[in-house]
Amino acid sequence: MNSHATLLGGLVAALVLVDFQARAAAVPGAAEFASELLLKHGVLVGPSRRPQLDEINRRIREAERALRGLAAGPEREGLEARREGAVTELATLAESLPGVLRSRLEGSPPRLVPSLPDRLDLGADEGGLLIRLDAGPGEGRFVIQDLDQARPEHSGTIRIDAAAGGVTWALIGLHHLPVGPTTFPVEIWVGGERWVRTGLTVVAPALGELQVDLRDGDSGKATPTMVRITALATGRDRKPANVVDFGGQFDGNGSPLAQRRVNLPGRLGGLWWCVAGSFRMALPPGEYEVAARRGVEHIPVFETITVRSGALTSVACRPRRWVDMRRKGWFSGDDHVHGRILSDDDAQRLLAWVRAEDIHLANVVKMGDIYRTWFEQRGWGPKYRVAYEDYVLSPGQECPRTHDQLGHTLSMNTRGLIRDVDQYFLYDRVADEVHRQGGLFGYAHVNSDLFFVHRDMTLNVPRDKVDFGEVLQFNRLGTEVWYEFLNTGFRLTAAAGSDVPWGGSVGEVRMYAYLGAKRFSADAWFEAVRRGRTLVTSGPMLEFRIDDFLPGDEIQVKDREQSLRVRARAWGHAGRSLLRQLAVVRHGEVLREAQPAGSGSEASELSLDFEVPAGDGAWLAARAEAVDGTMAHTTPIYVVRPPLRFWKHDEAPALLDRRLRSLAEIEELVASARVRAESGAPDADQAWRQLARQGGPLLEQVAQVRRLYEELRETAEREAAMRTATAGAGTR
Amino acid sequence: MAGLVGLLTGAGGKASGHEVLATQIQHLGRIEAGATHLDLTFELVFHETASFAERRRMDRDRNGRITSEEGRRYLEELAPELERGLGLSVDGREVDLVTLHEPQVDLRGVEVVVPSPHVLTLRMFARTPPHFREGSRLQIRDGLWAAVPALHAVECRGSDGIRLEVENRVTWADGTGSRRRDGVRVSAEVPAAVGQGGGPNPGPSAGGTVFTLRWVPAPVGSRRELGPAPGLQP
Repeated sequence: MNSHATLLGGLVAALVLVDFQARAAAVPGAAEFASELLLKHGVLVGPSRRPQLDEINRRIREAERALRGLAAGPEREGLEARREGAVTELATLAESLPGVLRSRLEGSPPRLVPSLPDRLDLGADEGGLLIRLDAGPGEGRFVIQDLDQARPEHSGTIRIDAAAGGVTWALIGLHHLPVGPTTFPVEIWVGGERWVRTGLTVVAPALGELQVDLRDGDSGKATPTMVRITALATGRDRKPANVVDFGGQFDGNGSPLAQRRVNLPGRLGGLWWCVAGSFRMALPPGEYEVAARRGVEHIPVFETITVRSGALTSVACRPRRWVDMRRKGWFSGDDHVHGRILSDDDAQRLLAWVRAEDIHLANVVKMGDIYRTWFEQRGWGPKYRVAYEDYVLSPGQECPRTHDQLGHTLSMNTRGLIRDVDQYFLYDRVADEVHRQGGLFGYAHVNSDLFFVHRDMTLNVPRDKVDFGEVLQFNRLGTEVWYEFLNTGFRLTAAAGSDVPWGGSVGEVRMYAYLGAKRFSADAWFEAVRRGRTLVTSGPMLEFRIDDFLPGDEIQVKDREQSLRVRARAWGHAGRSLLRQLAVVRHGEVLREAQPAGSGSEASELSLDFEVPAGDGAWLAARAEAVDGTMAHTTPIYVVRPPLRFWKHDEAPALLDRRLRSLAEIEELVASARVRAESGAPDADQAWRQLARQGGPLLEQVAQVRRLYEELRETAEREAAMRTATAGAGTR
Repeated sequence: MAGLVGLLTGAGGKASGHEVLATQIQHLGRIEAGATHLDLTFELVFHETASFAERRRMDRDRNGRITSEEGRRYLEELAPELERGLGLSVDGREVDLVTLHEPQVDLRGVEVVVPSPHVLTLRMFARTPPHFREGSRLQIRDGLWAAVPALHAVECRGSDGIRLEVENRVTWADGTGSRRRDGVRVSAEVPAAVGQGGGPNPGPSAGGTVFTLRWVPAPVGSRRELGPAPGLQP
């Protein structure tokens, strides 16, 4: 018998039957039958007939759509004729398929002639049976049934509701069959009566074995790797052996599964498993794609293999680097990883994941809000870091977090959890303590301004309490809020984090910190972030220098005509992140850009090298966009001509107005909280009760910062006289 | 005043966890443009809270388990709304979007009513209109669950010499119909449409996200398909 297989694609129609010649009713049965064949039973159809079946499916559905609500008349008749023509083609195509079980309904009482075979070799542990029942003259039907042996509600009976006349085509999907014979009762029903009851034994073949050798493609060393195994005939995902199951460490939050849906484009996205290392497992025979991936610096591997019953198939998956950022002094990190660590086992599972994704520093954060905390950690500080070679888990925190008020904060490299509910809205206290402990303080979700994070940024960025902002997450680079603060003359280092388990996988977006010639260590990495020597990316790589200065550096100039040499280079992998654009931005506006030659072209590398006068100071950064939608951005280099600020002076009034509006929002929040408190109404919401209590010191901070912004307004006026027109200070 | 402030700030009930993230639906669109047809696939990843609401809708007998028959009926009921929730136009002219395959739900192995993510896949197509040519603009309107916060992303692929580029590839939507490409203010309140298991297309007033794509000239000799490409040097 032919080998059959089907796609297990989530929930499927358990039983669908439609008379394909019924005029009044639509003919979804024929279309569904066609779709079922295309999506789940490609093996039955074969590649040569697939385009024809695809076109038949489209024609049936188009006709169905056009017939909806259409009154009787020539147009309707024409459409019905087109639909019936397509349905007839579908039946003709089905007739031509190999492996069809053909039988007739004959006699009284009715019986199948010839009877169904006693035994059928399916060729896999899932597949489709195509049964043609001829009941003589009549209209016929298409019938679909799925029987999944892993689902308890499936009775295990093959039931075909056949037409009393004509040909009934039944497509029976069988899933999760055990090895060896499985006997199914078969019932043929006509008009609500059971006409025939018989049996059919389906045999699933002996398993084969797959051995996957997972190694680093450059060093040859065994390594955890992100893996996906897909049955090519069906598209079904097969869970690899040796999976690292960290799902239990998510406290039920986000996507609490070990299988991760990665927020990356194309084949890099979709579902992946973290696998601890090489593995060997049994699999039903068939063709599979084994995919292996290790973060953005590696070339993903996609291997097609065939597993045969009783035989061992071996495949080596050794993702190689297309770029080694370590050699350039840049080490990757993810500032936003959630995961409980209460034991060495917990730590090793997360460590396997960051090694698989090639993230050198993961800031594993305990999360809290004013009510509670999540993702428990054993402790903080260097003692509780967990390392394997140059991969480190370092405990941190995402707290304070207020959702309707001030936003979410992130801290790295702290020595203890800093959380005081009685001062919860005074984020500066946490920032000060983080800094006292030698850590770094910043904001999450700046890329999307989630949770009104711009409000607390307005309070604390100008007071030099903030080191970084998360500007890349979920493969989305969001610069609006970030640029606002930079343009107001405040330094803010670019950071990126996956926010797993809400994000897809550790390091799907990442930040790099420049250590130069220093040996990697967590402390060196944190120090580089503190200095602002970072870039963020979800694909392309970037280099950016002004003279010999790097991102995060400040260049002091005395003369506005002083020439600065700006060099930027972006490069991507030819199979993944071909570049659409490299830009150097000044005050957020494109100063110079490079695009591949020719409209619509793509490049694996773009570079810019030009000179620009220092002018009155500015922040400049490089950003790159790849064709696949991945992006990269550096932290700025700050050009300062004392005593001027490096801000976007001509927009300073508007920028300051925006900040003052944010302060007004905070005042409104406090007022609202106080109205609630004074109303005497029982209010179970601790956040608002606490905000009312903490409103005093919070408003004092607002007043203090408002003065600061007002002083900046005066500064802007003073500077206006010192600055000359900048119109002529463009590039040269 | 307090009421106004409450509205402005989203002051409401207790919010916990990554409320907005738990509430959101990720809309992952993919368009494949060829000489004869334009295929549109949308994967909607329902995060915890959003998934919980839909799982409750699926569980008709309220026994906490979702059978394949319940899943089928859920999709059957939803299908017309799903069809209405998506639109496609070429150079400003609407084209007929037709279901290519029935919608599918993947409960990701968790077949019970709990707040655990699931994926809904929609596959539609339209005949390539004769006026679709190099330089044309395609617009995809996604009004599915428009009252629920969403992260939208779209990918594109061309064949038969067609090369597409997306102008706004990734977009946040706040679920109120008012959105900005950057810096959308998102309230942490669970939108009513989620809590009540609201339909996928609450109407034009709820807005929708529009993606714009452009048919650009194809570079000679360029590779666009992702795959192993050994040998590239940094």
